[in-house]
Amino acid sequence: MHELSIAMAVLETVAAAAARAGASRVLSIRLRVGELTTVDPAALQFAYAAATGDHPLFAGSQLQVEWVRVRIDCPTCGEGPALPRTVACAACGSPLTRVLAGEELDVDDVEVERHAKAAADSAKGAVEKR
Amino acid sequence: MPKRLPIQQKVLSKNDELAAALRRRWQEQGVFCLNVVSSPGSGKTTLLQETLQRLRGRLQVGVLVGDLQTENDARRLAAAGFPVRQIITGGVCHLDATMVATHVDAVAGPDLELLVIENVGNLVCPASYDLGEDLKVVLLSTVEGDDKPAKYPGMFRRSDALVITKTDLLGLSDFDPARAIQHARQVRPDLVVFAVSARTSEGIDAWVQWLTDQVTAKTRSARR
Repeated sequence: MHELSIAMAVLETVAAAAARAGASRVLSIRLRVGELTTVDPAALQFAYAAATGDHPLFAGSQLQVEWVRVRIDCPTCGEGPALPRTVACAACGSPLTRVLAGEELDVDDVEVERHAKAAADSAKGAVEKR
Repeated sequence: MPKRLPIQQKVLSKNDELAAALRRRWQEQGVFCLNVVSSPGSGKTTLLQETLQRLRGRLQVGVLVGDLQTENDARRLAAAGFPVRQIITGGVCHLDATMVATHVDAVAGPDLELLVIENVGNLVCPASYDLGEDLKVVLLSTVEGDDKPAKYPGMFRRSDALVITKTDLLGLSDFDPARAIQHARQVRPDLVVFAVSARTSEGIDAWVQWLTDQVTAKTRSARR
């Protein structure tokens, strides 16, 4: 169940980016997960919910997982899909291919919200408003 | 006002950076690092016991061994006389680069040539975590399914060598080594394959010789 470790790493990455951008809340995270990573999307969702449970920055946020199929470059057939869960060319069966996609485990982007106050502060300078 | 921030970062970039730092350290010091992975019970500790016995007087070895609980494996591995450190993960199903960096100085003397890391028995999670190794070797025993490389492509894809263990039991199960190798090469075409039995010693010397050649090639080039 390394999905929990992965969820924690996602939170760490996103929290750092959110802090840099002055965000007060994370609404959604887009993650790309390749077929060859052996990361289970359902387990990852479960782990994400558990990891964000009492974290105000992530309250109500969504993890959107884009599942990336393997794509290969075959010396005989050129670019194309692979046989399921392999790097073998779907057209000719040869495993002697170059993998173009399917090994991703990347945070793509994140949708954040800034407090009205923080947004106003940064727009007008740090003027205290009640 | 919602706003989209581009991130474009690997999820495990922190682990990868630490692994890269370890890899630079081993390069500078002329140390070869081996990461041994498999399901629980495939024979990692037994193969390493046999390997370490044969490396006595040939190479300076240090050993890290990961388990969820107990120091049993460290005790078994210490019999060959090399320094061994048990990493008890307390439930975490893999070793990561931080754990290696934290514990490695206990076994890495100045004359270290080979660092062996016996990972937690698990064919899924350890695949995602780079430990800074030069070589990842995956074990598959003849009492497991020969389609495991197809079921766990991540691990076999990232392994450089496959050691089929418990060959003395061939014929007692439906395991077909040729089929296992074929499945494995569907995800890793250049996989180097050995077949061994720790009980009969079949194939062990060939594996140890190959490993020694890999190690000395690196240590020699580092000393030049």
